[in-house]
Amino acid sequence: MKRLSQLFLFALAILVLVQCEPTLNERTPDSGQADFSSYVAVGNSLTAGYADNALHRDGQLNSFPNILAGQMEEAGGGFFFQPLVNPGVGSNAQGQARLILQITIGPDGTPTLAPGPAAESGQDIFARTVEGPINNMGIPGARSFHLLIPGYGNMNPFFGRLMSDPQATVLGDAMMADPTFFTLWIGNNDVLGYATSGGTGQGFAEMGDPEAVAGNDITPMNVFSGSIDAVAGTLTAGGAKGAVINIPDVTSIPFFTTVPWNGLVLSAEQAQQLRAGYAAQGVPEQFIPDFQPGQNGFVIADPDLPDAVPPQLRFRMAQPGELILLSVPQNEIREEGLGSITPIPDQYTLRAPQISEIQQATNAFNTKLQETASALDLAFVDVNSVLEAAKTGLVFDAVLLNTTFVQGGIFSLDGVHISPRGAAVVANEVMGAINAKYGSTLSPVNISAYEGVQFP
Amino acid sequence: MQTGRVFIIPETANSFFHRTAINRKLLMKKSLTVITASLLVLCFSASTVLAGGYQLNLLGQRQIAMGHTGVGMPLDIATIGLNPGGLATIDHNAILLGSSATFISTHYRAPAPSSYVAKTDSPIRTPFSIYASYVTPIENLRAGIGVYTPYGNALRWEEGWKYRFLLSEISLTAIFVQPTLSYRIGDRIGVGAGFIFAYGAVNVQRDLPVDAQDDFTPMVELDGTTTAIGFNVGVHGKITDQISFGAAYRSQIDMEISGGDADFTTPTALSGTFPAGNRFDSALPLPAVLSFGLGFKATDDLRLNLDANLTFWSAYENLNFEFEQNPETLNSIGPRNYNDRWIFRIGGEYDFNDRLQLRLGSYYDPSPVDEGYLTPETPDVDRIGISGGFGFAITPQTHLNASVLLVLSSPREQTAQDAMDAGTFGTVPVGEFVTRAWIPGFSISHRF
Repeated sequence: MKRLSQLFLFALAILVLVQCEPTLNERTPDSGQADFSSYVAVGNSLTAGYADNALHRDGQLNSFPNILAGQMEEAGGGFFFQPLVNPGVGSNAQGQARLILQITIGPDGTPTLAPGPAAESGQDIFARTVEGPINNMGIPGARSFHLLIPGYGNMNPFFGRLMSDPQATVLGDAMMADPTFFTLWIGNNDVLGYATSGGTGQGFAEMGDPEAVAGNDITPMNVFSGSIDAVAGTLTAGGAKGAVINIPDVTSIPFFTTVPWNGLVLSAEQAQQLRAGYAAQGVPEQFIPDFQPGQNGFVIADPDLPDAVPPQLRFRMAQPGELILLSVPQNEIREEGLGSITPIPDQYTLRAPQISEIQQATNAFNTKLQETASALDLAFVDVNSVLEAAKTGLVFDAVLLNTTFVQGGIFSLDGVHISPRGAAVVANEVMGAINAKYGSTLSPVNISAYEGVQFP
Repeated sequence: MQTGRVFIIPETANSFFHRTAINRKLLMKKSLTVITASLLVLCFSASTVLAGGYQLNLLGQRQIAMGHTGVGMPLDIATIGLNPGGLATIDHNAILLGSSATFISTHYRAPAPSSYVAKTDSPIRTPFSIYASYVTPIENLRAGIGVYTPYGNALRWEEGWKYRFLLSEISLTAIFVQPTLSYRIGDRIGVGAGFIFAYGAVNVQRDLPVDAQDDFTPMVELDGTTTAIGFNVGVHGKITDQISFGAAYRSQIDMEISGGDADFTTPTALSGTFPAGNRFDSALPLPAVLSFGLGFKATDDLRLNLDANLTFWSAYENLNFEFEQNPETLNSIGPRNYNDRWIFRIGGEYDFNDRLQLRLGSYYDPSPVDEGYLTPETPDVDRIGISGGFGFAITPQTHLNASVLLVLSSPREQTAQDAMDAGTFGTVPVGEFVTRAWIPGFSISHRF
């Protein structure tokens, strides 16, 4: 009996001594061979947290470097100073407010959901109130060579608001924070200026003069290469480690993929009427677009048609693979026959030769970025491949993400810049590359904790 | 077998045991109440998933204290639930009221190198059982009724957790009402059968993967109730005066919810996708259970039980939701593909004196869920149950029973590869889960 009671007590003691809480201990991130104590992000709008066609505080707080710095903090990272604008609707360089999704009721009473400015004008974000050193040196609009131009702040108000001196360079100001670690994501604007203007500028060239590069040109290769060498060389001169991020292909970006090339849907009667209309205008038979019932390519201007074609006849139907930009006046397509009765002007389309220029440049720039990372023994982040994969869909935390405009979750309402959720995806990719390169164990963030596009 | 944690414990417990041996006299008086009370205090943070899947084997406190055994030995009228055949051996009218409180805690940890962990903050549930028996005027015929809760689940993940789009909260309740007749054939054999009327209620909440301009989190709450019928049959026999056996079979009951409320909280712009006043259909099987038990009267003071239960979990193939409005977008098919599983149990009861009985038991309850099919509503793990308790006769007619059950598990990992192999990637969480539970229980019986 004694032994049985002892057994009973013994067993009850087990019940008490076992802890109630199950144990799955939190992991502690480690910096590995990297030193995150002073992290500086160098780049353009994607680094700044520019989104929804404006620099605004919500976007800055959800910039990929800010997300990354938050995770670095668990592994010895220091304070990450961002030049935050005041809370509000933000502003772009033209003084316009950020875009938000809005429900508008059409004349026939049908509601439509479309992006529109959140206010009549943007807030004044360009007053100089920021004192450095600044950790987020993402300057919206900056190209590779802009980072090295003294007095660039006089040309670009986004740098003007935070430059240390009227003759300062972006790179110089970035170095004021004495980076022990950096990210460099630059080169997007070196291609995008050309792409978003519908390929109306100078295409990809091996050689050129930075002074002569206009806003709608592709940066010449020699200028890009020299700039990257100078920027990466300076950033690593003091022994800093870092990550170089490449740039996405235009076909991953909703600004270029949302309006379908063959979005002109006609009935047999409409096709017949359109053909008759062109004939009535005196367009010769062989130049009349071949309108058919069903889906048709939009009618687009093509200034590159042979000289034998009279200028007023230089239009044709868009072909598969050609892109109509999100900037096209969509109400004119619906209501005024743009793309059917009249051709879509060249500034709203990317034709096959223009896409070829963009893709040559993108590939060449990405090769340069990868070679630079390799030569300087830096982490390399292939965001281009991630967005390529996202075209068909990526799943994180049971959320399906893709590159679809508005619903896709990765891109913000301007169709070019990433949403907070897109920034979280980028931050996780960057952390993966850093961990692989430097043996660190930065903890990826939960994608489900970040928002995509907000609905009214 | 994932029992590492269990075998680590006795070392620590040993020193406690030596101390308890010294103070035994004192402790003998106070230990039971003190220990039971301290369990409640220690474990208040804990939350309801007790047996594999969403089965709750909590049919009677006397049985719980003995590893939830008793199919082969009708200890009291809770045998109406465990084995209706055993009721024939009970020669008195009685009522038995019992309830347990479930303190369950589940932890999640994201795959390396993530530092992310999440916990459940699950509501405390009180599964109950009510039994009454009646010795009918017809010789050898007993009648009884049982009201009990063999299945259930209550789980609430911390707000904003990683897989909030899969599940934030679930509550599943199943109440069985079982009128029963049991008949003794000769001196040694009893047979019994009960008709089951089942009531079921389910409430599932999850966040929607869309974001609102206004300050709220878009989410959906699915809520439905249903009723169904089934049966419970059993046989009990005495092989010798010392050895008895039992077998019981409780049928599968399908909880089919038709026209449940699907309440979407979404931005106005998305009310076309997530229509207001939507309704849903779904079905959840409460699987059949086949049980066998052996009872031994080792001495006049000591009784031992060995039980085994086969739960036919393979009935749970899918959890599907079909919606009345916008089914193209909203309908979902969730493969579950559970497997039939045996639970093995052992328990004992010792008569300390005329009034006090001490009980101990344990069981091994392997998970019916394969990796690749672990979900946030049942992050299932192999479980070890350890139980203890006592019975006390206040009067010869009125008895109290107290039980405490500790459910332990080792962490279980579901990898992205597991999910891809199962074809469930994107619909199940990836990472590690561990569950621990304390279930104190109390019952009172009266015979007349």
